[in-house]
Amino acid sequence: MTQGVGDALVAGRAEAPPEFDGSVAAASRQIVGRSPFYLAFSRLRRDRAAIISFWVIVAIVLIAIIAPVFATITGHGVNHQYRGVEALSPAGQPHAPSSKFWFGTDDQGRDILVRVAYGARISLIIGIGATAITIIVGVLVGLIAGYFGGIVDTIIARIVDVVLSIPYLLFAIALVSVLGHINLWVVMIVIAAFGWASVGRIIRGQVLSIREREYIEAARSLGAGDWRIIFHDILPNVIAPAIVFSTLLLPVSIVAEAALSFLGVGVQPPTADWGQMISASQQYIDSGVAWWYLFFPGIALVITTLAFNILGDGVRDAFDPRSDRLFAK
Amino acid sequence: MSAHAMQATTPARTDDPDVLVRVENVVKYFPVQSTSLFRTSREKVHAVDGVDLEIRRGETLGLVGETGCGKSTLARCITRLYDITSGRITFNGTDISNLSRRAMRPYRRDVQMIFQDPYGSLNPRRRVGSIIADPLVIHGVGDSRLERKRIVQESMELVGLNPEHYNRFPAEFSGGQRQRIGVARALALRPKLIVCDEPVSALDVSIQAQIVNLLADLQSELGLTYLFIAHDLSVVRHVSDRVAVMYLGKVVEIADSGDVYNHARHPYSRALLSAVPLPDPNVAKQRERIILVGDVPSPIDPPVGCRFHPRCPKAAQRCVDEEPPLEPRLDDPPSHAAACHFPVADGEDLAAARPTLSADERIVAEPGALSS
Repeated sequence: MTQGVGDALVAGRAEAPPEFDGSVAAASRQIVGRSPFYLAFSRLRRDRAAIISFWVIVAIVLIAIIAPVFATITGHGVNHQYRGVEALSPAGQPHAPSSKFWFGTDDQGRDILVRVAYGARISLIIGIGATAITIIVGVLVGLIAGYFGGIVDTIIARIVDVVLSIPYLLFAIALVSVLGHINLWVVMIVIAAFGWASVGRIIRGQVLSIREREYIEAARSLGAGDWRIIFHDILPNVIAPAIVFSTLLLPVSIVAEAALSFLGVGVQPPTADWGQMISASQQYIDSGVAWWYLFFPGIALVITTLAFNILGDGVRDAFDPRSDRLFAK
Repeated sequence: MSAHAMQATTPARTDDPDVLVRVENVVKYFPVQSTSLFRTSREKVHAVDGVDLEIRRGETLGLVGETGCGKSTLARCITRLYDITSGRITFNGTDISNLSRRAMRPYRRDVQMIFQDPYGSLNPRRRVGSIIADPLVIHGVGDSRLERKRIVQESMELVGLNPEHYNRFPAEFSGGQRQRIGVARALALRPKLIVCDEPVSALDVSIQAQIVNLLADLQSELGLTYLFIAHDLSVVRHVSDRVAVMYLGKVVEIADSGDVYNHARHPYSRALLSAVPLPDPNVAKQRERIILVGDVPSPIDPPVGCRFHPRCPKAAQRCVDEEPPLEPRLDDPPSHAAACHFPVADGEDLAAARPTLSADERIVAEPGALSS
């Protein structure tokens, strides 16, 4: 019966769902309920690049969590400024990687290894936090604009146009300097304030087509209210694009955070942060004296964003079986 | 307004306890906005244009007509998915034509709908159990999840689905099974009326029979009343006690099922019936076939007088001048009404009929005459 359809969709077989183990005769031809997310996950599992990226991300998250362990092992506090020839050259320049400072030191004589590990925390917290805020706001706005349409849609569409036309970095610099005190929340909200508009626009487009489906009419004929239709009938259908969008948005948020810090309007010193370290390393790069000062935070940033990007691509392909990559392999 | 004149022809017997739904002169227009270079004209699609119907308790009323004749719009007016432009709909003695959303809620429990497309009418991202439980949750039936699950599984069993499949997604079912899910959802609240909007036209013929028989079994078991919409006349004949034929937003003929099929009075009903495929090729060859000329006129500017006159093989001047009322013709019983000045007698050869009205005289409508 439907078994053939199910098998055609997934190569691997799944365990029986716990709710129904079909103790009756049905057990002989147990058909397993496979959710669209299960199907997407099983496609993702076959995407080698995405899986490697996934483990890289797991490693980065672990590093961020156990950052204090780096401080313990090396015996170097994250903000401790070391003096002496082992930490700073006689001219007061950063010291190259050595057995004591594996990644070298910065211009203040601090251990770059420990600071890169701590920097992962800021990048991930802000990257994930900003993405979450962006997606939640964007999905809500898109649902409301797309479902209600009319004047509500027009007003939201104009606001979106305005937000998208504001030069993001200039505005962020201005906003941060007006706010003065900068903490993690401010940075997250600044990043989210510019991201929600494009998410909202995409979700709105999806909602416009879903709204016309017969099952929405069916829900209405049952007496469902607007909010029930939005959250029970439409929302489940936009979760997949929202997940895809958030995996692609994560690296963008991480880079945005680094960019703000680079410009001095992100997380403030002495908090260890990749963008800040890259920014501070500039003056030592021109003269070619301290490559490690740029290299280690830079490579950490590149690996993190690359891993999130490749995983994001994989997630997108997994959720959209018609995408070309699946067949190209 | 002509609306009141029409109402007078059908005596208002709102107290008749046999009648579950009474549709009185219901009109539904959809505005269409066409913008040309210099002006914006607001026109209206006359989807349903003055329909009177009664649906009696426990019966199946078939509603037939070709695509675009307003069958589905009428169904959606009765379930109040659309607000009607004018007219009156009474359900169980209550006028529901202008009820607010809140006031509609008890009525929504009693009227359920089965949709045409078994693929489109079930949310692909929700499990079957949750889809069927929807009406229960919305109307607060069943105190706990467990209680609702029991009702859902009962409904599934009632429509011939395996209750163990509670946790599956619609994509894991075949078309016929999905339609059963749609039926189970409609039944969950034990409604009085089920509006079936072409419930079988998207299904294979063998599956059609299963669903039709399922609906018939459920009717006798639960005392349901159906409004059964289809464009397949043989299906409608099989299920209906009475049949109404629609053309361009109007009911042109309504009668007991056998009368429509054996003594159709309206030339349109006759033409529609002559198009039903017959399984025996020899019989089919001998049958008179009435081939209508032209296309269905635009419902934006429907023809004046009888709406069928531009295509009618019997059209005369009177058909343009005067709109025929829906009433018993020839020596028909009162239950059989047709809207035709020149009803077709039994045995009359309609294929040989020649209109007395030439093509130029057939007025489709003066531009703007009806649209404003």
